[in-house]
Amino acid sequence: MARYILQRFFSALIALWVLITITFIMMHAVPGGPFATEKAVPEAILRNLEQKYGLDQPLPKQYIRYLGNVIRLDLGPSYKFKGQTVNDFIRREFPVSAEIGILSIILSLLVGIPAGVISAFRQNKWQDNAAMFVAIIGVSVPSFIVAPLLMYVLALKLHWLPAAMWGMTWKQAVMPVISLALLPLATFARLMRSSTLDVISQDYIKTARSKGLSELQVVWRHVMKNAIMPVVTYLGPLIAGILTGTFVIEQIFAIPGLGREYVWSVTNRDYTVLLGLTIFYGAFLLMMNLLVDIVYGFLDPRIQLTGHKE
Amino acid sequence: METLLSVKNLKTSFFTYAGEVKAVDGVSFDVGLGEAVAVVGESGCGKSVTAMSIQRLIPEPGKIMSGEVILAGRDLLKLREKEMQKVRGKDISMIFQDPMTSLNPVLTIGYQLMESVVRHENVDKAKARQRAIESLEMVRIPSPEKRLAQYPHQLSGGMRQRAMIAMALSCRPKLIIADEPTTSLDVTIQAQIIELLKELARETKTSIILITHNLGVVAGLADRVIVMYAGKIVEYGPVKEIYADPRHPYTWGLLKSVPRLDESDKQRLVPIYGQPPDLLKPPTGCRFHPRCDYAMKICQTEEPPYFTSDCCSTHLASCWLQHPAAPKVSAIPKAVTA
Repeated sequence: MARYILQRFFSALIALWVLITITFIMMHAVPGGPFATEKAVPEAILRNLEQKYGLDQPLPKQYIRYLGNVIRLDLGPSYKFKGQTVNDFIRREFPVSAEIGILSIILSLLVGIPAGVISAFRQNKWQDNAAMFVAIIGVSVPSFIVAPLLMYVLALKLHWLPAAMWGMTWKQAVMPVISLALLPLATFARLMRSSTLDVISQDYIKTARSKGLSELQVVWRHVMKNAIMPVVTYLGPLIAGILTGTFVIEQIFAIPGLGREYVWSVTNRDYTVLLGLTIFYGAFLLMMNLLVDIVYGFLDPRIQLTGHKE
Repeated sequence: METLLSVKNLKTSFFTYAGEVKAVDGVSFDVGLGEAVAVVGESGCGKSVTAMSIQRLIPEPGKIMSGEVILAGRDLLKLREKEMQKVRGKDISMIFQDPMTSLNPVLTIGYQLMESVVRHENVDKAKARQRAIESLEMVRIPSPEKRLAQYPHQLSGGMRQRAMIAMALSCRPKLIIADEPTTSLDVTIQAQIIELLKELARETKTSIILITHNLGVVAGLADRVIVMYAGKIVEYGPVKEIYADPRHPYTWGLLKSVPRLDESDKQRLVPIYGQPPDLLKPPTGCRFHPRCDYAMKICQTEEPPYFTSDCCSTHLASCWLQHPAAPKVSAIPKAVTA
């Protein structure tokens, strides 16, 4: 187990290095720079700025220097916001993104899993049809359509919820959380339905029934642990994606989270912020995938986590 | 012999898009206390559906249409689902065909063993554990304490089937329904499992319904044999009678298609030609007549009643050849007499 985790850790480091390198190259391949604006900046000032941040150095040198900083967990200063570092951004904005993220993941699990299980047990009955109708909408309508629609109805027409004002009232979280939860909720429902259908046709469910267990005991003890696997698989990247901020939702609801920062860093050519957030997201994703694999081992005893033998 | 289970005119149908499939169509038989009854027949003849109907575990879109299943004086078909759950695993338990898939892969053997004990008998965890160990000892599994913490994939096929039997025995049921308990096992293991079932049934005086298409298994274990064809019982009698004096052409066919040790190598096995009938549109008259070498005119139109023979009233066959006016055909197939 420890050997396995160690192995995965090293392969994650390599993946991160590849990620950094590719992002670095692509970023610099795009014309323009952090200090290119519509207003003409005097040549001397521009040169000064570039010198200060080391942008006048040859690229390989910049790359080496950056890698060195990353190893020391220093993601560098922002080029656009004076006196602020990327680490500051993450410290300040990650909790905001994580808060909405955790809430929407909880919501999607609490609704999606039971919906999927009920659908499977009422296959082709109205409960199934209703749940799957909603699930198909959830999967196919993108959040940037759901969010403005919610806003239009709940905020502008009914005046039940505020459209923005993050941090002023808990009500502000309702719409972002719902629009963020819809896709994972629908996905969970569909995954859970198909895996439950698969599990309940298995022989061991017949065995469980023939032992005289009640339907609820059959579902809880024998179906759930087997059927939850695809959901766990999907949960890893989902947690990484949602907790590190979602570009669109945070933009629409004016939430000061990492996702919004990410979008801005692209338009601003804020090299260090863009790179830093990419690394942060990448590291988070790799960590979550490792966590999922470890959880597998607990859920299914047939999966054993062992390192390669030499 | 005292009767434990009495199935009367059981009818179970499946409602498919194509129409009603009468998988079990008027089956009646008794199982005595401590008796082992074998149900034999081709795939799809309604053996398993009969078993599942007794447990009332017919999956959708199946439905038990009519009949009675009387266990120790109670008609199980009239019980509410909650009461039926108390019968399953306690009075009647099942052993399934494939021990590879019949055990839950993510739960320990111990958990799956204790589950029904905890459910049906008011015992605490420690007592349930003790009972689980006893059950494993009964089926001769070595070091049972160690097995409790193991998962199904850590046991061999034979061990798993023993664990399944232990599970079925754990609440001391009155009746065990074994649905093809040896089909997916190696031949050597098959013999062990059958021997085990036989011994356990004798020790615990448990009745057994053995569902199989393996006539060798039948000969080794059963007291009585029910031969099913296309949802109906075609022949029914003590095991010795069925082997020594089979009456129904279908039974002849089954016996002729089994290799025998005491036959010369040159003896060819004779298959039963054709396919089992489509139960959406079962043949009129005797359901076996399209495949029967001895079919007469009446077989195509009239369903044969059960004829008893002169020798014993317990051996019945549903075949017009048993009618006093029917021509005498060479009733006993070569493979059996030789």
